[in-house]
Amino acid sequence: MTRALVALLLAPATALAAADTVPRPEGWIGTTEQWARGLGIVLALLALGVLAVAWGRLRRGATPRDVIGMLLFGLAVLPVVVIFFGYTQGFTGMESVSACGGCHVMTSHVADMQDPQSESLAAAHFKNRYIRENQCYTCHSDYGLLGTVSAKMDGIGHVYHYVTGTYERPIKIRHPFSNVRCFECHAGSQKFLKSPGHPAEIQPQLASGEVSCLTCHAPAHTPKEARR
Amino acid sequence: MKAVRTAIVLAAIGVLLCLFLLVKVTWYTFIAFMLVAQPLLLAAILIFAVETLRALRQKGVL
Repeated sequence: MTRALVALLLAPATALAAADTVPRPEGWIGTTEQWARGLGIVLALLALGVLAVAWGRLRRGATPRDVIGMLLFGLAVLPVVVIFFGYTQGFTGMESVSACGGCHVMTSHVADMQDPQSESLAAAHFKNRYIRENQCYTCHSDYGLLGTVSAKMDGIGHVYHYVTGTYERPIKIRHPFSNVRCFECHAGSQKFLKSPGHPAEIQPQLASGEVSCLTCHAPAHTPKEARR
Repeated sequence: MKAVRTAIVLAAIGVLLCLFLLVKVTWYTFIAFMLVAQPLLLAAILIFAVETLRALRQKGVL
């Protein structure tokens, strides 16, 4: 019984593990995020169950006072906990490549990044696992709390433009790509510092953004035109 | 009674939208969670709180 319950809770985790080719350590039981997701689903179902029972009892003639405990639990306590899990899953889930590629207009960018034959900068980072996961989000958001909030707000704006069709093809980045995002990983690394392409005299210009990393490392993406 | 039932319906819709997000995270479920589910759940809690306070006042507890 316990094993069956654990298997049910871990169903999403198992599916994800099967999709990923990286071998798991012995005794793998999923990630904290996957457990949080399973727990959130269980609690949401429990809240719906409690509300259904309260509704049924009220219909059978019970007064709100008779089901006050049930109402308190189903209307206030459980939803607050479910919202908490919703935030944890929502914010992390929106950073995934599948979320970024969720709009058809972006599928060609994602396909290009995941294409081992592509020579684009995004593909180089993806196929060599320079960035292990959430590759779109990692390069297209500034680090720190403000970067996260700003990226989410931009994302909501993108959905608005996608749904209303107020965008132009081909898709272009709204602001010039900031070197700071490259520096988050590359700055200070020996490969970066000792590269003949990054002589000491040009590094202040790279740091200030006067010279863009993409001047030499473009194209970032080489998408084939996508259909809406 | 009607207000409590309204609160239950609002909360159920809100929790259902949360459930959609937990099952599959997409921009649509995320926006539904942020812009619809949370206001609905907040409204449900407020209605429930107001009704509870009203009932307590009627009984002279408050």
